Amino acid sequence: MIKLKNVTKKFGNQIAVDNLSIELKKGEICTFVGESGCGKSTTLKMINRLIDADCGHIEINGENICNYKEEELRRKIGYVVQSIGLFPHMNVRENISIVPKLLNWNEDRILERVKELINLVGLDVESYINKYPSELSGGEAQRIGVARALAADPEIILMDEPFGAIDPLNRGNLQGEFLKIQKKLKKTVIFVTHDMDEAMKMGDKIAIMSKGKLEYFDSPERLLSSKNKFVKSFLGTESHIKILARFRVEEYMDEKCKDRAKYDVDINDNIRDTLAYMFEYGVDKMSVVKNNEIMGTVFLNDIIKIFQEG
Amino acid sequence: MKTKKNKIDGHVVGIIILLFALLLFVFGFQYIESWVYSVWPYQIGNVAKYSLPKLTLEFIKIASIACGLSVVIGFSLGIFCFSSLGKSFELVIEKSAMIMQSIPTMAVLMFGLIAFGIGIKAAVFALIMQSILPIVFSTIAGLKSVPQSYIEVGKGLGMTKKQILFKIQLPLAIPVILSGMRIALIICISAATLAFSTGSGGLGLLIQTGCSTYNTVYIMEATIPICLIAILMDQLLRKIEKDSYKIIR
Repeated sequence: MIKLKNVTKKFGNQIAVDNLSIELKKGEICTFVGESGCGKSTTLKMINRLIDADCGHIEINGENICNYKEEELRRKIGYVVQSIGLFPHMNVRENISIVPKLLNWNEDRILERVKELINLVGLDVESYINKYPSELSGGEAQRIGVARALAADPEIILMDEPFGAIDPLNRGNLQGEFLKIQKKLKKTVIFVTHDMDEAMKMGDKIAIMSKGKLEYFDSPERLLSSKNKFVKSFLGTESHIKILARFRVEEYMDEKCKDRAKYDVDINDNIRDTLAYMFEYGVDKMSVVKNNEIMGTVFLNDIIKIFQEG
Repeated sequence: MKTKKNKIDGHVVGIIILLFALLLFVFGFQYIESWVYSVWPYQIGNVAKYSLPKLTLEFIKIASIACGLSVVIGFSLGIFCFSSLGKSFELVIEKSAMIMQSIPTMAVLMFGLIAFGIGIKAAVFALIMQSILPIVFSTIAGLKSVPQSYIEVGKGLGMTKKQILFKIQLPLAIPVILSGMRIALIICISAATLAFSTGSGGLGLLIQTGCSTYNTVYIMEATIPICLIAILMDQLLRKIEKDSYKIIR
């Protein structure tokens, strides 16, 4: 779907992106993470040609992006930035309809699409469609930002620290909702963030960058077994627990053991939360419930085994 | 929201009162004229025949034509500075606008007189020369003040340079451009008093007559409407400026 081959970008003498090669499949979310100035945003901007690469080439669906006209390429790619990205002089409807208008859709179709998208991002159409960005909260503005990127139904979406300026609680909700939307739409998403938690939660693949070099590129689960020194130091010790957020209780419970333990955990919870509950209550097993019905039991030992395997 | 709408805007009230005062003075002065002269015994110079509404109309005509043209020209010059061709001309345009501003109005009027002959054209030419600077500057400053991030987002969404200029930069620059226009308008109004010297009439004529015949009443009669017009226009543009800020926060 997206293929970067030996891409290099220099700003003056400073190398921003150094010989980067990456290949993404259709429908994947790839999160780019790293300290600021590591070249992750530059990489993102090279894909929609806001910045042109010095060496190497980038392909989308097997076609070199230099073969497209710049503007046409960008209209095919959704682009989300931090909440400042909504234009203050346009209301929600106008903001969302920018790209469809550039593509010369007719008015009725645009309005239909705008309403559909506002619904999709979980806002009420009637009360939001005519609001200006200054009347929206950070979270709402970012939802509209996502809706705008989805407007012309692009196959690829680039997100540049989209939830960076939003408080942690709202950010969690937004992340969850975006994942839900993604499940439905199956876009290819490149997601730049400096938050490791966010990267692990959102990404099917994680790319960790340092000083323009790609240090790690694989699924978050595999991070545990990475031998790369930089990756290990970047993750820190706590990250091993954070990765557990990607594992679901359902996959690690013992289905045969259906005795009721002292405490319950919902079947849709993740292992990280379960572990936290176990420590909080001081137990080593919990019943896994689905609609108040016991489906199995999860044991502390099984969780520890995840680390031994990984 | 409803209470907000019902609330009377102070600006609007001010504008209405000013407009009313202006009309009352211009059309009503002839009725109190004899009384004014009885209080103010400057009878000596009361020789000329004139009509205050006609002079005021002439005055407004000159000021508005000049201001309109200078807005159009200044605005286009400002935008031209932002095109790829005009970038290299930016400094030249800025400096020449500055030079034009620094020439005394009387001198510019004489240049106009030489170039266009006696009449309204010379006056309009001089006023444009005088008032174009704030418009050019505010257009350039306004366009430059638009945050780079908006421009980049526009680019990222696939807008062409022209679309970014007209759909993003200009709308966002409007408050700054409007404040420049307000200044230009005030300059036009105050300088339009001098337009009489090219033979295009206006309220300046009355002031000039008053000066040469020692008739203070004439001078007051012309000055009051000019001040009222200046304040009125200032308030009007301020109101528009404020409303445009409301949207662009």
